[in-house]
Amino acid sequence: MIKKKVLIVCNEALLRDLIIFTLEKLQCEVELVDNPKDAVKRIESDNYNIVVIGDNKGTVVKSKLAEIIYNKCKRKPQIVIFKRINETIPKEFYLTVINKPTFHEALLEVAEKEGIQTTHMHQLEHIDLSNYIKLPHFRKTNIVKFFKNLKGNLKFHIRNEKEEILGFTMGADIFILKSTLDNIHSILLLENVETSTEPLNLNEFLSLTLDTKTFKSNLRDFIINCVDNINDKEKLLEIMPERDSIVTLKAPSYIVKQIDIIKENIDIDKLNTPENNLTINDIIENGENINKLKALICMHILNMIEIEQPASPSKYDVKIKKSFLKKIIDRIRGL
Amino acid sequence: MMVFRIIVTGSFNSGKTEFIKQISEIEPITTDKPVTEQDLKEIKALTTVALDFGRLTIDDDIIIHLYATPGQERFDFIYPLLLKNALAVIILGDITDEKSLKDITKYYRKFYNLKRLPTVVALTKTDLDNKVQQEKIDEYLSSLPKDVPIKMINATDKEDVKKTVLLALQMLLESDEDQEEIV
Repeated sequence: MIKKKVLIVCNEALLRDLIIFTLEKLQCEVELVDNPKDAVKRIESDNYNIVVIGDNKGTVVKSKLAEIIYNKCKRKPQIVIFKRINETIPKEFYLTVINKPTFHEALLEVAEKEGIQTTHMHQLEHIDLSNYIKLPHFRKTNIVKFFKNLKGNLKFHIRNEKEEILGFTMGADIFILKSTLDNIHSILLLENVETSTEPLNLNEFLSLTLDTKTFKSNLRDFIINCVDNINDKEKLLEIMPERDSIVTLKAPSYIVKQIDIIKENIDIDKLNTPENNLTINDIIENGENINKLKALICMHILNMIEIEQPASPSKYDVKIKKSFLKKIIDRIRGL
Repeated sequence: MMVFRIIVTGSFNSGKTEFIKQISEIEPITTDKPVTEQDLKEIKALTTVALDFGRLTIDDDIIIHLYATPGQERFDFIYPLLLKNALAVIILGDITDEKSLKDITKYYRKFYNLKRLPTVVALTKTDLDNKVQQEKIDEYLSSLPKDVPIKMINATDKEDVKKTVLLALQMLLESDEDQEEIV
């Protein structure tokens, strides 16, 4: 009888052994890897009937790894994901989601209470961050501008005289691998910052290992939390461009309205009417309303609004966006 | 939809209607009526009573309305209404008519007191021979601020008209040149 092949992607020793034990009892041929990169390599070179994805060394979320595996493999396998309690796994026809058993963790806790060494059972490794950015080229940057322009799939290194932060973005998520900050959400308060970035390719992402110190968040939520963390009105005002600048909504209003701090403080429909020519000052009530100020800064950093200086704040009494004026000039030139 | 305006003004018979005709995408909607004043009748048969209107579509979101305002003083009440969303004022003066040239400064002050807009003075009918002497022109225009450009144009020449309007818009753009475009 030809044995069915199973690939396990897991680095949690006890759970992994339990799965192997079960599958081998079923006469399956089990192979084991502990990171997504190796998993993808195996899938590309061999056929598997079942792939089991548990917690592993990679930072790629399990559902994404499952999608990559499903798309790359020639013979489509059954894919099983062991899901943590708060983990969200979208429903896919090729996925079977099983709540990750926790009895073994409880067992380890009990063992630890009795002084039994259990760290070798977790097998989580420290991440080697030397040469994290292969070709570092540091540039002086305004930290707000840095986050405003931060794209997906980038490794970054932020530093100033006192602090150092290393991380990366993958899709809409941000991961912080190392931070000297007591509170990572105070990052927007950093001054005299220099940054270096480098693209993060998929292979590298799959092989990046995660440890318990790794901070992970949705980039949008991260920015909102960072802005919300600033309670000094003067600091907040420093972030905003010239306050007589005209603000218009760039992002679809239904998306903007999903964010509580914005929905509760900004009249999106009013902002979405360009004829209103709302300035920053109009929206933040001349800086008096700190919550409106925070909401507007979130929108600014998240590129949800367009902020433009009136063409001539002093010489002429004309309010028009520079880009509009350029369009008009180009059109008349072309007549 | 954003609507901006460009205002063309000047004395009677200075070429305002012709001016907007050159860059309007529609045949200007005019409110011309036969001239009633006996003296003026000899100069032209029709004059703009209220205003002429032209239009220029920039894109789906921006439209320019072109207004040629009457030269006669009794229609001064229109100016403040027209100036909402106005981008520039073009003041036309008939280079063959001393009164028209003298009125330029008057128009400039009238508009400046209502709203500070980039303003270009364009002297029309430069193709005619009976021009007012240059010394006189200089004298009549001497009280205009130095930063108000004066151009010689033919209001029936599209390129001349384009250049005049572009000059005014360029002044608006350059007034803010130091500031970086925020994208």
